[in-house]
Amino acid sequence: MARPARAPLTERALVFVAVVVVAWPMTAAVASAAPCPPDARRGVPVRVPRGPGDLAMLPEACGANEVTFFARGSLALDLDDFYGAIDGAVGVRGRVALSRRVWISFGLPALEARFAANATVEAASFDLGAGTLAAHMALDVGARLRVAPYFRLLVPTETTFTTGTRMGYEVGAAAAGRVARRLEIVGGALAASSFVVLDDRQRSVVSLAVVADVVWHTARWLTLVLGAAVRAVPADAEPLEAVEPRAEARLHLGRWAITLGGEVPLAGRDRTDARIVASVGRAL
Amino acid sequence: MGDAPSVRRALVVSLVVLASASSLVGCRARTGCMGGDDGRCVPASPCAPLEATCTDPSLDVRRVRGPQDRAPGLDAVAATGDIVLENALVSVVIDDVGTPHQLAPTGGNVTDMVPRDGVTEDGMNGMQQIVGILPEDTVAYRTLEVIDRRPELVAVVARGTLDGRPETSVVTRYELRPCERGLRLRTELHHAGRDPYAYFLANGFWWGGREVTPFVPLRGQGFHHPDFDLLELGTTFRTFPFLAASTHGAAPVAYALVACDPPSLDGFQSAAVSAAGLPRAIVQPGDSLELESFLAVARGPGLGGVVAAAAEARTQLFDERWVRVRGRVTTRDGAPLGGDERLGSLLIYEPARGADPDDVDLRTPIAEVVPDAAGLWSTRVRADRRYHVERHAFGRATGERVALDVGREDASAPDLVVARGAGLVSATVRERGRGTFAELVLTPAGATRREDVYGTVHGFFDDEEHCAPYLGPPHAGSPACNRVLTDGAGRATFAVPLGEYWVYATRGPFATIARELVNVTDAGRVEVVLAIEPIAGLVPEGALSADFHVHGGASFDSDLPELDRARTFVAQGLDVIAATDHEVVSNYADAVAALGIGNRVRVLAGMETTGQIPFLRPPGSDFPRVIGHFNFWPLRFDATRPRNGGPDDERVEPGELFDRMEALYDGHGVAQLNHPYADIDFGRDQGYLTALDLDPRDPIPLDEAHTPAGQLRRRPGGTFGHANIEHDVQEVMNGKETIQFLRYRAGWFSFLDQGILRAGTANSDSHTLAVQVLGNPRNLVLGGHHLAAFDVERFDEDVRRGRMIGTNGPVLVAEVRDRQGVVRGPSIEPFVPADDALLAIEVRAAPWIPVSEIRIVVNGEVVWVIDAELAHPTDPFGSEGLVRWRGTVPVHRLLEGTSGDAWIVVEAGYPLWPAADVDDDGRVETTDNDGDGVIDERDQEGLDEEDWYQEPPVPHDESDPRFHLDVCVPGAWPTAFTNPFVLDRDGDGWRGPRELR
Repeated sequence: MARPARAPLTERALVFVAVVVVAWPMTAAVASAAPCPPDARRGVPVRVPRGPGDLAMLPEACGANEVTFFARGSLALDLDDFYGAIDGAVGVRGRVALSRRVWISFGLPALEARFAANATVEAASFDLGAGTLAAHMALDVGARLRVAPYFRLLVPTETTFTTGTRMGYEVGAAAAGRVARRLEIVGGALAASSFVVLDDRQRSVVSLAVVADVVWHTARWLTLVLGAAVRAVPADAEPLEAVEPRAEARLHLGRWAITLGGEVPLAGRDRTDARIVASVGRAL
Repeated sequence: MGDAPSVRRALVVSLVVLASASSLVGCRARTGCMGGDDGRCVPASPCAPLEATCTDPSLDVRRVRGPQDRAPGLDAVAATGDIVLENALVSVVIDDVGTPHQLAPTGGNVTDMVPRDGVTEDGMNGMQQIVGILPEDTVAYRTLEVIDRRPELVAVVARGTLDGRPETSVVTRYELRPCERGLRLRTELHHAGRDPYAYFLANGFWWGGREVTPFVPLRGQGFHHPDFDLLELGTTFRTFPFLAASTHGAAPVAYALVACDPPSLDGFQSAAVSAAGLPRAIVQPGDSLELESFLAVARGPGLGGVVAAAAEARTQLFDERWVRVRGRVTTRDGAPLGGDERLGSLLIYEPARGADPDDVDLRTPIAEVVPDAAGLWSTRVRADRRYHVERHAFGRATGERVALDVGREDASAPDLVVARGAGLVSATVRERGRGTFAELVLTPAGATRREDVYGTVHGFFDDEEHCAPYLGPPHAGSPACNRVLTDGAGRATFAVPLGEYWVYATRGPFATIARELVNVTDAGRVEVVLAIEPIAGLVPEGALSADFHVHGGASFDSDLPELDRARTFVAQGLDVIAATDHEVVSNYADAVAALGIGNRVRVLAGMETTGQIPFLRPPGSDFPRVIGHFNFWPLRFDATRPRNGGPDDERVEPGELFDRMEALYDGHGVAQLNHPYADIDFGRDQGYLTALDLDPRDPIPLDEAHTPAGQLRRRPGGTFGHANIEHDVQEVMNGKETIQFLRYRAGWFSFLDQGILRAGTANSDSHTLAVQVLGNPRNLVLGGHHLAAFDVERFDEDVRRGRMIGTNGPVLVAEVRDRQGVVRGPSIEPFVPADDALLAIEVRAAPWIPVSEIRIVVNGEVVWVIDAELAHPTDPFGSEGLVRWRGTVPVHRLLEGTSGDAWIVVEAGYPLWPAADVDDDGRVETTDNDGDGVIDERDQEGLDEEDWYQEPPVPHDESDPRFHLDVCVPGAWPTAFTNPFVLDRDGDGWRGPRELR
């Protein structure tokens, strides 16, 4: 297998500087901002990873200390094109609160399995996925609204590429607004850039997404989430990637949370029929 | 307390820095097009460790200027504008991007490749880069760039994308260096799409099905490969160090593909196609693939030379140890034995472990060689191993073998002494006392059993069950299968396996046959003389015998030399031939001139269009189709142009194809719909009506509609606006199979009944001596034609008008007469029959061709059967008893029970083979397999779908009237038909009985 090539020096340097510049202030406490409620269940949108890693998956709007083990899968069938693809992964993600308003989130490189069929040419692979590392800061806007800008970095640990290396980063903001005692709106917007570096060239894809989920804490032990996301790749010939309704059910058992969720891309270029995820998390 | 935030800050920064730093990890930069094709990148020179030296380090790269640049052999198709790469040893042609061949959507692929000895014939139908099996998975090249760095190297860089996935770039470098016996290849693919794909980047070889036998040095394989099925491809993939393949014609060639990077190849093999390249892999968007290989070529016969070249390459690339081995084959008397693969080839293999070292499923073949005329052979094998050398002769393993232990130095094998050799037969065929072109057919007799003398080419081409005795590769030159062609003096001398045989001589269905019994031993030559005579009075005066569907070695699925094919024209008693090779215009001008038979046969240059790239989506179709095959003649032959002047026939519907042909005809031209309901082969429809899934019972609308039948009226667009149904003639009989006749007949009757008047033809579709005997069936074209004053335009006009009879033996003379003396023969031209009109029928046949039934068909229904009063000759080898029935039937009696206009067809021969349309799609597919007299679903139980229809059994007893016919024309079921009599009963213009109004 060919070893990964080197990214252009200028781009790498810019990324490095930007990360440090953005990350440094986040490490300082802001004593005057209103705190996030100390509740890992709050401000959490539907979390269905699309890959690579957690890139382009809207993160939580609140910090917490938790670790989650997840298993995800997706299916794409395009019979007209004699195409099919199934992939799945198991991995671990988590959040570490550095202060009451600042936290980092991480996604360890997942174990990934893939199957693809191009008519009767089939292939399967087992790989290590990409890791992610993000820094978040919550800003309270009034008593009911929290906005949490973030920066996420894709750690290039993937083994699925034969000759290239995929890297990426993402900027966005998650927000959570309490509508009623048990009802909140969680959403946000993000811009994610992933690029594969090979030779002296790189090919980047910038995708945008806007997300809105209605989170209903029906009981202390049960949370239901229903929402939608719109994704686009502006530079593509078919810019609309997908409009996807999504849903999630969470069972809370003390510090444990068992979650089952999914999303179904409709419209747009995305050929994926459905993505599902199941996870078991624990607040620390 | 105050330290905690600092610790967290430090932790965050550390993690962030660590994550960022990981992006700095990288290795050496690459060159080439791995990151995508920017129009300027050039793939690196492949297979770097290879080196070669020789006395003549010359190199050349140039554009093809004309036919003089074409390699020897009928498969060589280089045309003006293609690029030639040559060194002192090898010549390679890359076709120009605008001149695609075979399965490639564009040029930019290897199309010809030969060693530069001036003799060895090209056997490369085409090699192209692929990533899968769909049309979108082949590469469409857009530009070719020549790199001329002589004296170091010459190269061609082909740039393009996947056809149908233009976001995925592919750049291929073809490089030739001095003194190397092959071509270096490097392909770089960059996937800039959005979805992960399962790709198999490989070199794809289109062998065609009857020319080449691929070989891989794997345990249990060699020439034996997993059954190839496009729908279950995964089970056929194997990993191997190299692939070798050879042709089996008169000047055979061999190729080998060796992996450079990676060190092994993944792929699959079959007689039709081989693919060898990278393992199947999921390719992510943004990722790239690279494949390097070395394509070697050597003179045949056998693989010895090309395996040696592959061994030399692997020694340099991977430091493998290969050594040269030599040996000799002799008779018991010490005389050398060799020079022809028929007489013997040697399979060299590592024996299996266990009880049977020669177990075919467990041994590991490494090479195959053919000893030369001095009995000597040599090749290369891996060092430090034990081998067995096994002799094959006449298509079978003989059981003779020697053992060979090889160390690290070159070695010699013990002499292989042949205990029982072959015999020689010298035959002379005379007609009216003079030697004549003829075909000889041998069949086992006495104690010689078919299964003891049946042969194949190392297991290939085993579907020709009549190749017993096996005299030679069935799809190459004479002697082939169990057939031999004589020269113009009627002579042929050929080797035969020991045994007892009948030797038949035949000159087609309008001459007698003769046979003699021979006992072939290795004690000497057997002489046999056979006398046959043309049978006067069989063929109507002024009728010419014509076959409008004939293939030879220029087709991708035939290795029959041009001279041999031309000999069969006269040997089978044909007057007119339409030369219709796949995808190339042929005219046999050189062969006809060389044989001096220009006054005995007229060859009309033509072509069979053979769509290979699925694109058509008829209503209701789940997958893309092609439009099937069509024949066109006469065409202008131009060897300077691609396909010798034939059209680009890919991705066009029939109507547009007809438009394109208008500019290529030499005269008015004839367009023939071939085998309309033929099965799918290699995922490609061979029949247009099969592609549409047309039920012949469905009404055909008057205008285009979104139905299978409605597509026939579609005018796809073009200069002349032809509709898809505007062919001139269509095949009603093609070859020997009764299932095809029943289906094509049903389709033709449907057209006639609906007012679509097309003349029906009967053609052999002969590809080789073994596949469909030339002229069986054939057409008798009426209209006062004579070879001495042959008028091709008038002849073709009679063909288009249906003034023809189709037959594989019986001669059916039918005409409508009235008391005023008006006589009408068959034709698609309507006429008004007189009230007293009589249908006059006379059926004649050579004594060895049985006839037991005459059928009169009115509007598609059999209304009259004559079977009781037929005459049956007693001596099949005589010339008496030609007329089997003669009589008249009043036309008005035939039309009883019908109203309106009508049409009549007369058929003769044997009864229609019983079959039924159990699945109710309008086409028969099942015979009475359980013998209960009823054809239903029970006849399909326990059988694969391909076995639901059983053709008539081979007659094994001479008392069967079909016995001698089946020897001379295997599988023939006597059948003849007239073109229709089209009756405009009320004189107001003819309308088909089921024609929509």
